[in-house]
Amino acid sequence: MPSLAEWNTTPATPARPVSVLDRIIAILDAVKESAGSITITDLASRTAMPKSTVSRLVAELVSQRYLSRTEDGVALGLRLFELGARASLPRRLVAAAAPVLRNLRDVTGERVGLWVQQGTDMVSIAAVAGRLPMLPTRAGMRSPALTTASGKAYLAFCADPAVVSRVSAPLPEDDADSFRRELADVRAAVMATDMEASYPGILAVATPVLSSDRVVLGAISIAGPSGAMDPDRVAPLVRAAGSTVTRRLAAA
Amino acid sequence: MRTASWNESVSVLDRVTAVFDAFGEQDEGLGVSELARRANLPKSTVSRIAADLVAQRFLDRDGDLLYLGIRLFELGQTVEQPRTLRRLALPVMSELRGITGQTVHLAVLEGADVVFVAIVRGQPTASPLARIGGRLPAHATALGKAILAFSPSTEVNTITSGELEKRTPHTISDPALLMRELVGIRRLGAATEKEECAVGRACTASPILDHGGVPVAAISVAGSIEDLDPDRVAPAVRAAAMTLSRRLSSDRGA
Repeated sequence: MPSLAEWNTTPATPARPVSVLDRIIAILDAVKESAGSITITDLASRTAMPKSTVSRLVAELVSQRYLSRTEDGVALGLRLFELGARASLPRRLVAAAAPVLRNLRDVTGERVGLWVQQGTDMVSIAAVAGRLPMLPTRAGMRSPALTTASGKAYLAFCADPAVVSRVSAPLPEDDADSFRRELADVRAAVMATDMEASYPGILAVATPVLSSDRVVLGAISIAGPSGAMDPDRVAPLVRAAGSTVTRRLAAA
Repeated sequence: MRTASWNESVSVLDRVTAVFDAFGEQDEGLGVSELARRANLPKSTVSRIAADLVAQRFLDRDGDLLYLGIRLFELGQTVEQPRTLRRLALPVMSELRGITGQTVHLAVLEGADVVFVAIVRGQPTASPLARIGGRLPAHATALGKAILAFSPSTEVNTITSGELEKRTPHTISDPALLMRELVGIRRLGAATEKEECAVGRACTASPILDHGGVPVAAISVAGSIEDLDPDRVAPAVRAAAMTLSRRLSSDRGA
């Protein structure tokens, strides 16, 4: 398992990747980091590879649609979009999170859940019962991303503004503004709360689950009876659980 | 099969692609033997590639089974073209869903297929025919026909020169018939189909054009043949496509 310092930094570009696969991956990573398109010259300098090698590999990656040519270089291609959409995120997340969720429940005695975003909902992919019974957060259950702690934790870190606008679309203008402000606070605190807005009598606290590249994958939430569960006590534990899952995912 | 060594780049990428493509549409785990059979590669080769890909998290290993990995998910989330299209299209798609009450799709043409980049469902309970990132043959869908009708003839010829798979008894599999239909679609600005892609389903689509008139995607309304009259929704689909074409042009101009 990598050390804390290791997973906390973005993976450094390997100095002169040796194997062909390493070179291909270094190119894909450099294009990804450019957040748009990048020229062959820039790619060569970022990957510390000769320009001729980069050119040859890029041509191959373009012909197989991993990259696409743009006006000013290359960008990530549609094959990666297709493969990414088929990659089994929930299964992977559940595997990495299961012991963390159980541990969080054992420490707090509260109900703990793992959620992924789908459309305007959060979908439960794993849950452990606590003081509150299993229902209603059994796996597969949907709840609105707009009001739940898990939804807000996810949206605050979601890089796709279209997802956030779609979820907040039903809100009147003023409420949409305060919702966006709340998400900024969530981002700063790496934690969201739901004070009985989704379910009467239930208080929830949630944190995002991020990949090692800081792409948001889902959210971990903890829920307990309002007035009995202390949000300030559970918040750091939930945040720590989120970081642990990130680390476990990176250590695959 | 290639005779080049594992270290020769073309062969490495070809083999990696064969391994990725061996995974089906479902989130299924495959053992090395099954992966090798589907990828048509020696088991020892697949075993070595898989170990490298697992180390890089492009594949995930769970016991004896391999899955497409989380790093592909991350890269997939970053691809610019579908992201931009989704951002611009989702409000237009939601509005079209509001008007028609049916499921709205957005897809781009990739080779002989359309790839779905955004979906706004009509009834959440309706069984989905498409999923984001999924493919369907272009000639069998209104989305594909709408794009092809506005594509250069060389591109259309490439598709019609291949086999036009008959997905249902109504799928157009005769190239001449397809070409004639495309001419009509070009005139109307909308493509329709009834049970050409799936039995019991109907669809209407219009192309999204850039300022040069080149089709970049298509938007469609799809539903069951009982609920959807493809000709009746055509004006709404056309209007949505025009709005989206305008949004795209002004976004590119910005």
